[in-house]
Amino acid sequence: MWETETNLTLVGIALYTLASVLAVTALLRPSRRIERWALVLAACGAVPLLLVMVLHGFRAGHVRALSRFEAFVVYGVFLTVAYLVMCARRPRASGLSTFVIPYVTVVLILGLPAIRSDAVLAPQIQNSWLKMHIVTAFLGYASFSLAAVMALAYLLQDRNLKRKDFGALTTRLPALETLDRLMSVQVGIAFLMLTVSIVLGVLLVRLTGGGEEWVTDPKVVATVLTWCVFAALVHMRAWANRHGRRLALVILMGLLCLLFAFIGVHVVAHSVHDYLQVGGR
Amino acid sequence: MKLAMLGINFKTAPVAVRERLAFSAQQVPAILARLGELLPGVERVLLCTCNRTELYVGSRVALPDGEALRRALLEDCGEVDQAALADAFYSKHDATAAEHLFAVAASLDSMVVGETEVLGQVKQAYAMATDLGAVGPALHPVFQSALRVAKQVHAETGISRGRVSVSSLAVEFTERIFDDLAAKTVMIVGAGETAELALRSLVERGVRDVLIFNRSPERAATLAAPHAGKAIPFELLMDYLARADLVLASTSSPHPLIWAADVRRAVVERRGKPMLLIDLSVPRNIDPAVAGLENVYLYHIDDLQKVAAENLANRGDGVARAWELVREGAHALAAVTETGDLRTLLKAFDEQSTRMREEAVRLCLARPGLSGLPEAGREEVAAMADKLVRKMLAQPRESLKAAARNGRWDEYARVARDLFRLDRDPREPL
Repeated sequence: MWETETNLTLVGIALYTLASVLAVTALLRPSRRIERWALVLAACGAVPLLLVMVLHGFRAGHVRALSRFEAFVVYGVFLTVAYLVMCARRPRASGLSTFVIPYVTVVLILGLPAIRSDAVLAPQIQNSWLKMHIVTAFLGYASFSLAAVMALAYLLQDRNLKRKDFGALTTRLPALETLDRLMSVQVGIAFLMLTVSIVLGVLLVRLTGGGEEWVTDPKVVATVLTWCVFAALVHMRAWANRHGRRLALVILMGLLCLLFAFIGVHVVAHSVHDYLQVGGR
Repeated sequence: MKLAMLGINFKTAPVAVRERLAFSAQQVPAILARLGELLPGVERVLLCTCNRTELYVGSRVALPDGEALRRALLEDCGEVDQAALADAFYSKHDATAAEHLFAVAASLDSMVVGETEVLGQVKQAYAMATDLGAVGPALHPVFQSALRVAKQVHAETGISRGRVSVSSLAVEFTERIFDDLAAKTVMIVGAGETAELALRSLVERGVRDVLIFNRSPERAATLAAPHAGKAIPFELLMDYLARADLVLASTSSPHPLIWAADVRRAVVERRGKPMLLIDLSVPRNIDPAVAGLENVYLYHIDDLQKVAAENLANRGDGVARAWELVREGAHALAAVTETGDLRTLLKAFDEQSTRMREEAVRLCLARPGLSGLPEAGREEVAAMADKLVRKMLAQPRESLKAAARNGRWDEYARVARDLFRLDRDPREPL
């Protein structure tokens, strides 16, 4: 069983690595064909990884994102899917592959050492609310990470345009306005998902009779802080109609908060959500 | 195969002369038909663009000389000063004519080297002549090779990469920042020629909202009319600044018209939406300090020219390679024409085999033991020799025909000539 899963994971990571190489090559030697192949390979890489998660899920009988490996794979696959959907709708966005695909590849490789960890869940919280809680949280993480990639691209593009540097990077990245619009959409989705996830989390605690340890849990606190940054961003864009560099900078700040709530918390403190087993097993 | 071309282009004739010979697509069929009557048996293609008018003719037999061609072509131009035109024309023959066509199609002979429009025009001229039945075995291979080589040039060299004119670069800069040009507001300050060209390119790309500010309201109205723009009194410039996504300035004002403080106010009002300012005037009309503002991108005419020069330089590397490809293509075509077409080769084949067979039969029957053979026996020997030769040559003939169909004609024809020594003098003893 473990062997099948390990092999599938390795195949997935190999495909992602190849896709990363192509995505970086596309920057040095601009070519539509290379860009397209990078996307195709990344899509092919997501399939075996998804299969691994399904196998894990069947074995345990519930949606799994418990170990560091599982969490990273779910995050990586969701991010890939969100990105592919965006590229399908906006072909020019595929210039972002150079950032997105290598990032996902690195995340997947970082999760690899924990592949054999087999965290277990308290049976009383195994219900469909939990599944929704996990799925929405990860959708939120993926959407926001995508927004952050675009914010980074925005800042790079802004810098190049200001410096009058019209090299390969400037040519391949989407127009500033496109980035601005796409990142706002992703922030909106992320805000919605994270809100739903938090509400579901509160519900879960109520249903399972959890207590104060949940309210003071560092992960919960960090997530609420992240949610506040998202809310500020949504406000900036939707109500104050803010655009441009500053919006991009706040999104990057939001990514730091998100990464802290997602991973960092487990490194610096103990959490009730502590299944990430940062050292691997 | 004979090939010749005759023409004028922007290098040899000013526009006043070229426009006399600038035939429209509607006129071309009639001209080709008439040339067909004047020069029976001659294949012809007429290429007319705003920069050139060229007539290509081809034939299996001899072609009329350049003078006759010119007279035939000029018949359609009404009253023209023949003497003035004589110097403007150039004519080329065979391999040089083919090479010229290849260079034209690959845009190496264009005013802006590397533009892709001319390839479409060559294709169209060829298609039009083909539809009229004016193209045959002499011109088909020439034009097909020309189109193939041109595509190869565009694909393998960088000569068509990167824009080079100020107006197209203004569009390119705009596209780096905005994605939906139809929803953008363009503000034109001054009504200079460069600004007008840039405006025209932008309107072609979908810009719909155009505001024009000029000291002279009449001039502003003239510029606004064809682009459905709005001419707005110059004094209101600052009131409209925040609405403009793109500002194009090109006036002869000796001092800046738009100051950093104005743009800063506009940016605050725009809430960080990016703003692009292109200053095409010398001395500058937009305060250079504008460039330091957040979400504002300012380019001066020198920036555009720098990019244009870089793009041109990048094309330069490709031009040498493109010429190589053109020459290679012309050589390959010449090789095909030199080896002759299938029919002449097969004819040579037949003649040679008949000669060999007859010679062999004659020698055989002249032998002392066979000289007394009855007539029926002699016929039998001749028939046998004929059958043998036919059978032996059946497969090579088929292979040659197949090679002609699948594009390997060139090498097969050469090998066949070599193997069977088809180019030897028929009087030479076998």
